[in-house]
Amino acid sequence: MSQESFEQFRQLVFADEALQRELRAAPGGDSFLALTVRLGAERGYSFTVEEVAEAMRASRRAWLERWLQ
Amino acid sequence: MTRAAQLAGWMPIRFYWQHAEPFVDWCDMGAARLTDPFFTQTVERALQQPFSLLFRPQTPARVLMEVAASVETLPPTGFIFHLSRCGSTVISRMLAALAQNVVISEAGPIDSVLRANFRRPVTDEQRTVWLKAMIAVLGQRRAAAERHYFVKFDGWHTLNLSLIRRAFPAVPWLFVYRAPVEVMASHLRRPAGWMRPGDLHPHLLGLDGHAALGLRPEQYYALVLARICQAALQHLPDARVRLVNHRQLPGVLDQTLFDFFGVAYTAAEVAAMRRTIAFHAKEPTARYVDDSAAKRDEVTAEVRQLTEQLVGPFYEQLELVRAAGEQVEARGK
Repeated sequence: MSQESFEQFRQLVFADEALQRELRAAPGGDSFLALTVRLGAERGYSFTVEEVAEAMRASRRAWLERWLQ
Repeated sequence: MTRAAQLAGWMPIRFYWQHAEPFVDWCDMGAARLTDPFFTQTVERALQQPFSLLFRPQTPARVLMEVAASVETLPPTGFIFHLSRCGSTVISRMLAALAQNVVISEAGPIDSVLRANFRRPVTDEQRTVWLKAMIAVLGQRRAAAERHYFVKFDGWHTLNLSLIRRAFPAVPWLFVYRAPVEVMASHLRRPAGWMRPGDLHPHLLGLDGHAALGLRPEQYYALVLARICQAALQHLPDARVRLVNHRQLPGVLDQTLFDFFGVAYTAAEVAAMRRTIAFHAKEPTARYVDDSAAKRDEVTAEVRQLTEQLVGPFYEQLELVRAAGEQVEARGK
């Protein structure tokens, strides 16, 4: 369920330039993951750091495997 | 805010299929200029940013058309087609040295649109619609200085020249080429991905079914290079086309060529462009060394003969058309 919640938060980010600015300005690594979880929680979305990390890995995979389809 | 409005300023980085539907993957590239030798390298740099990696909208391809219709885009100033391994990246790198030029070099999403009909029943009309939208959105004006927009296609895209010209009939274009044996030597060292037999649709090459798989690599490479030259020649001569031989680089990038594209640069801007040529176009940290002689020397007599037989006649035709064009130009001065 929390993957779904993260996806809903992601859609919210695409529509909210202030959120985008805040996330863009964040340093990488754990602090970016933690910020993403916190900003989501503040808006009622529940997902974990590990789920965000997995979403990043999936995003990287989709790019690296772009020629495979 | 509509989806298209949300995506203003975002770049399409991937055109792909999901459950038989075409989709576009979008990336926030900020204000990053496209100064890397190839579009993919700039995308890779953008994806180092956690935000750009994690927050990538994926939309149906129809959203691409909506974005194309709603954002400020630069009309293409010129296209660069080429035989591959022939100096076209020198030209695109020189142009990209100026902040006023947006240069899209061998962009993957353009490639994916052009090959959309390889394994699916996609019409030329549909590819044309996607191509126009893709080129429009890649040419979004993302900085105030940007005024001119150049698209360098990949080598094999020349085989789609008829479709591309129908989509953009007024855009002037270059065809860059080189002594075929030198191009062959480069592919024999390290072939382009699209040179792998089976990668391109056999009909593009006038082959049946799996015939490509029965050819030796050098036979297949020579056939592909010959087809690319043929495809360019079918559109020549034409006032909207300039032929550039690798031998003419970098001097050919002069006022005459800028006039051809309808652009003007100051002496300082031309000097800034020229500074890029001291370095290897595809590996900008390395100094450029002309390797033409080494390439000619390293191919076997058999490869030389095969290349001269299959590609040589088209190369000679290109040289004749180029010489005739230069004579006309000289008389006009």
